[in-house]
Amino acid sequence: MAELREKIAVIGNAPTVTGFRLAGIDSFFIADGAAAEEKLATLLSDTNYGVLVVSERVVEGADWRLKKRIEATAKPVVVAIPDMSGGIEQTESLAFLIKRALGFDLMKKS
Amino acid sequence: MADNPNPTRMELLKARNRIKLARKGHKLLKQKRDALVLEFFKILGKAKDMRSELGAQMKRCYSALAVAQAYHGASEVENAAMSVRRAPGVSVEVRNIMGVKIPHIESQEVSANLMERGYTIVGTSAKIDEVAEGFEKALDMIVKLAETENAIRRLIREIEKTKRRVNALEFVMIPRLEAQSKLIQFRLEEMERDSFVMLKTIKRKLNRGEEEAG
Repeated sequence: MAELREKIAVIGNAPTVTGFRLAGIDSFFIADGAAAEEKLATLLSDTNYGVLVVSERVVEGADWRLKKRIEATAKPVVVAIPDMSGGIEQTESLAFLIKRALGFDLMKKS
Repeated sequence: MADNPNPTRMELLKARNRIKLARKGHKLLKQKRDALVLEFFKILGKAKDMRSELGAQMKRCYSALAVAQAYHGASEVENAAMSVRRAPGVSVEVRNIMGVKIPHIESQEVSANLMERGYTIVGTSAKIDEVAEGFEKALDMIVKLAETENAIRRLIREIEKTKRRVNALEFVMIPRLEAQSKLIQFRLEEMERDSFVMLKTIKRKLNRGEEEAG
C-alpha cells in the first residue's frame, strides 16, 4: 500500500531486535543504556518513522527531558515493551495516571 | 492584581468585567473537561487489557526465541532474521481533540504465511517459524497499543491540566475578584455617605451663620 509510508523502528538489545527482525522490521538499532537514549532522541525528530518500539528499560532510565519529549511528540509514537529479562513496573503506568486524574482507580476491578 | 484597589467607579467596572470574563472562561473550560473525559472513556475500553496482553505475548515470544536459539544456535537464527525482507509500514496521522494531538495509526496486518517470510524453509525448522509468528503477532499488538495508550496518556494529561484550571478559576480567581468588587462598592457607598453628612454639616453651619448675621 502506498499510503503506509512511515516505518517502524526497534531500539533494544540483541534478542529483542532479532525477534522483531524475524517479524520483518528492517529499521533496528542494537543499543543499551545511554547509547539507546541518544538514538531515541535522534529518531524522535525523524518524520520517516511512525512508531518507535523501545525497550521499557531505556524509557524508564531516560532523564526527564527526554521523557517529556516522548510525552509531547505525537509522531513518531513511542511504545515501551518488555525485553527478554521480563517486564518492569513502569512508574508512570496508565493505572497510576488515571487514578491521579480522575481520583479513583478504574483499572483495578478487572 | 492589586489586593487594595483604588475605590473608584472605574475600578469597580473593571473588576466586574473581569468577573464576567472569568465566569465565561470557567464555563468553557468545564465544557472542555467534560468533552475530554467523554473521549477518554470512549478509548479506555479498548486500551484496558492491551498492556497486559502484550506483556504475556512478549514473554511467549522470548521463550520461543530462546528455544530456537538453543536449537539452531544464535547465529543461525540471526541468519534467518537477516533474510526476512518485508518491512511493514504504518501511517500516522495526528488528530486534534480539543487541542490535544492524538496519533491515529493506520497499518496492515503484519502476519504473513510461511512462504512470504523470505528465509529458506529447508534450512530452518518450525522453531524459527514459531518465533517469527509470535513476534508478528506482538508487532500487530504494539501498533494497536501505540495508538490507544498514547491517546489515553495525552488525554489524561490534558484532563488533569484542565481540571486544575477549572478549580483555580472557581475557587481562587472568582472569589477573589468578587471580594474585590464588593470591597470597592462598600468603599464607594461609605464615601457617598461621608460626603452626604459633610454636605449636611456645611449646610447647617452656613444656615447658622446666616441666622447669626440676620
